[in-house]
Amino acid sequence: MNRRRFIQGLAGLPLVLDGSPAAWALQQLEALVGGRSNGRVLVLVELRGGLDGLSTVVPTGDAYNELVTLRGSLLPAVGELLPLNDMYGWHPALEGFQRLYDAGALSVLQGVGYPNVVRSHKRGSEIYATAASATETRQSGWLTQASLTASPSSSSPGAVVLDGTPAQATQTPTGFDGVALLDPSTHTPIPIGPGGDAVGRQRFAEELDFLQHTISDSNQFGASVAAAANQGDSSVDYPDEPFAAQLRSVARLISGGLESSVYLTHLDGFDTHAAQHEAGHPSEGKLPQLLEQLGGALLAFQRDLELLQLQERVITLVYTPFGRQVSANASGGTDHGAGAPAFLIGSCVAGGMLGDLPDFSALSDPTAGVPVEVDYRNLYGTILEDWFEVPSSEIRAQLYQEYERLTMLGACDAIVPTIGAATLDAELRCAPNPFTKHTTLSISLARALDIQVSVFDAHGRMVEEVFRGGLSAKQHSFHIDTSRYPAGVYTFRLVAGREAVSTRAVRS
Amino acid sequence: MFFRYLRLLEGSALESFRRLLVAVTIEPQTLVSLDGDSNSADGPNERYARALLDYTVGRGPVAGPGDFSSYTEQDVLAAARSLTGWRVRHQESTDPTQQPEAFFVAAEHDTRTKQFSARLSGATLTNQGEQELLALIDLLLSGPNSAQHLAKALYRYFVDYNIDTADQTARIEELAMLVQQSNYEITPVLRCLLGSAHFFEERYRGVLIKSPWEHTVDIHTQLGFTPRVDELSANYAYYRWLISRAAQQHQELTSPPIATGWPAYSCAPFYHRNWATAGTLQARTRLVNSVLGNGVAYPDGTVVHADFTATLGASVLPTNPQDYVEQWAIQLYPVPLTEAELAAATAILLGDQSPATWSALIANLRLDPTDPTLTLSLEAANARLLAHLLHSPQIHLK
Repeated sequence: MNRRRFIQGLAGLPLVLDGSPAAWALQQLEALVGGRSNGRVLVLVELRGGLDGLSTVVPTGDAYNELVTLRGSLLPAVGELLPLNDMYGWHPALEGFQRLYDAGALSVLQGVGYPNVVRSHKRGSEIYATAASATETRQSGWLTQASLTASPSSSSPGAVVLDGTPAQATQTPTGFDGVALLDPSTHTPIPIGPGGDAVGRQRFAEELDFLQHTISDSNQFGASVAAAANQGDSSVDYPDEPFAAQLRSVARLISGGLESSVYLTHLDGFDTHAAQHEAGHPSEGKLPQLLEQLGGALLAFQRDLELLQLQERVITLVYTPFGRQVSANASGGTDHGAGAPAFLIGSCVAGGMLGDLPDFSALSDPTAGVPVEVDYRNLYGTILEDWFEVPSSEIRAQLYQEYERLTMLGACDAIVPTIGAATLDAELRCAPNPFTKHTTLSISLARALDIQVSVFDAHGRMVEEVFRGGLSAKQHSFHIDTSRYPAGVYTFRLVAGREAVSTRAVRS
Repeated sequence: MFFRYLRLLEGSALESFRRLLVAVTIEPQTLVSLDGDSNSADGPNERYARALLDYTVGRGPVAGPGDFSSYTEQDVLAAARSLTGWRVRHQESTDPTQQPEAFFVAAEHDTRTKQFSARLSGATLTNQGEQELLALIDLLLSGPNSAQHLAKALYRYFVDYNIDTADQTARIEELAMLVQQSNYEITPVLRCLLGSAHFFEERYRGVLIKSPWEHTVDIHTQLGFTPRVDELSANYAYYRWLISRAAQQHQELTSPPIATGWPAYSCAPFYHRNWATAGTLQARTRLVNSVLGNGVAYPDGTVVHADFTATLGASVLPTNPQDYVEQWAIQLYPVPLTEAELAAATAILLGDQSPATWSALIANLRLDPTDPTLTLSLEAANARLLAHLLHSPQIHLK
């Protein structure tokens, strides 16, 4: 019996109906039967190549003037910067981040890194992937060390890698946990033919074992991942590029009921040694395009999660293996540096900015990077502690001895306001509430609309679609048979185009 | 520009590694792709210098701030400064008399003395203009690290990526010595490696996962697809087909994902295992399914189906069904099947026939290899057998 069915079975017992002792029992059971899974999801976005943080979160005021002599050609004009706070502005291409930040759905952490940041792409990525220090080699990825890659159920892998390549963050001493897929919505079963005579051939046996393991993971999880991708929903327009498509896949997989804890994505191209902007136009060119892709895709993703009622289950960490040098080189770009900003996105983040940048006026080394203020392992630890409920003692023992919690996660109350679309004039009400075997959902529309009405459980999984089609401008009632609903909180959601309204009711 | 670059690699791969490094460093494609063409005295661009150090002395374990045991961040900057001044002209030219070419601009070159770290013996390079590039590469190749690094790379590519026995370390030492003795000529080194008894040892069979390109070409060859020597356009179509199949399995031939090439040949600890994920193995399975089932479809609408007899040759077909399966296994796999696997595969070959019916079929085919009824029975048996054998995990090993 898999864990999910086990718990569902238990949820049907009357014991569960009366609140906290049962909830406690459920937690204990979850802890016993499956890895770390608490229904929450972490999406990782690696900005490969090394992000130029000073072009992303741009210091304003005196600090801006200090930077003019060091990297004047790279700085967008002060007037072009998008407002952030009284000390920084967003790069003009980062409207997406600006909107998330203004809604309180994005936290900025300045000067992230570790002591003696390594300026090599491969080693830099490896360090972030394995939670290592500059000089240490770790066999396993940080997600593996934190047990996040353990399968939460027999049909969901612990981690899904969206670009089909092995992710070092999921590395084990013999291979990789989770599944890395090229297109999560299709699945091809892999038949297993004869393996060959491995007796006395140790190295052959090791490689064969690795292949068999990878194939069996693919066969075990591939079909349910594809089913989730196809059942799942996604109701906003994403920018038309591969990174945004990866995030849309993540939204579909989560809403389609996949129980994986971590999704890994990346965006390439931040290794901007030359011509990182168009000459004379710091808001156009290579880096601005990447920033626009990044902000646009993540804004769409957050809006999608909100429409899917998944915003309280998902946070996204955006990080880069190293930042770039403070001074520009003569190629109109920047070479590998040290510290860089990281971003935590979601309705449950605390918002605002943590940390600060130093004064660059006294900078003497032309190859200096941005100094490191915060160890990236504190960021990992905070996510483990506050999001996945891992005790800090365990984090110190397994991941990072000097772990200190950061204040980056808060109440799940941030909602990104819709901009540029008409307000949806619709009201939803459930009666009776709480309900038992049935309830009636009333919908009042101020104007005629094409709508879709669905019900979601507390985990954000769709329970059923109530109605899809056109409705006139008046009050409509839908009788819903809830006799098979397990007890719990349900969300009734109405979507029209890119807008949504919802109401909650309790099955007692 | 890219064509020029490919011709350079093709023409020089088996010659002097030293000359190849010099040529690649100032090849227009490299200068443009890795920003050497904007590397100048008043703001050096470190990108190519870092790649060059990774390719030659290699990156050892981090020993301290900015220190990779074999080179340091100081060396990245010193090497970048030695390489300042190279530019490319006629980059976008369509005029055949004006081919893209590199040239040296003395005014953009850093004329100050470059001081290298103790990891490179504290060497200095004084200004040598466009000759400085040669001095830099001589410096990088002079110590033991570069020879070691090259020997290891060749060993990992051809024998085994996993190096953990004293025997292996001794072989690599030997190869590294030979690299230095031969002054970085590749051919004698490869001849020594590929001619050694070590290379042929049974324990190194089937220890490397094939690249998507190797998998694609092998599957097609094993199923009897060959380029048609007499038809240039058909060959183009065939190779394009192969290239697109490999791309579907995540290897786009001329565009590796990182500057150091395919992760399978440079990314520790798993090297060749980087080729195999759930996603890419599913894509490999789709290739086998589609080529077995539908053959190769050309853009002009022609479809060519698998020719099973081409691989084994009709004249030598064994009459014993188990021997027949074994012959296929030798063609397809690096390592033999177990007795039980052989028996299972033989049962699949036979289907509902008896071994005697099979022997009679082969005997009759020897008399008349073109008899349509006999050929059809053999084809059907082959299709059953190959659908089984080509789905072995071992098919991905070489």
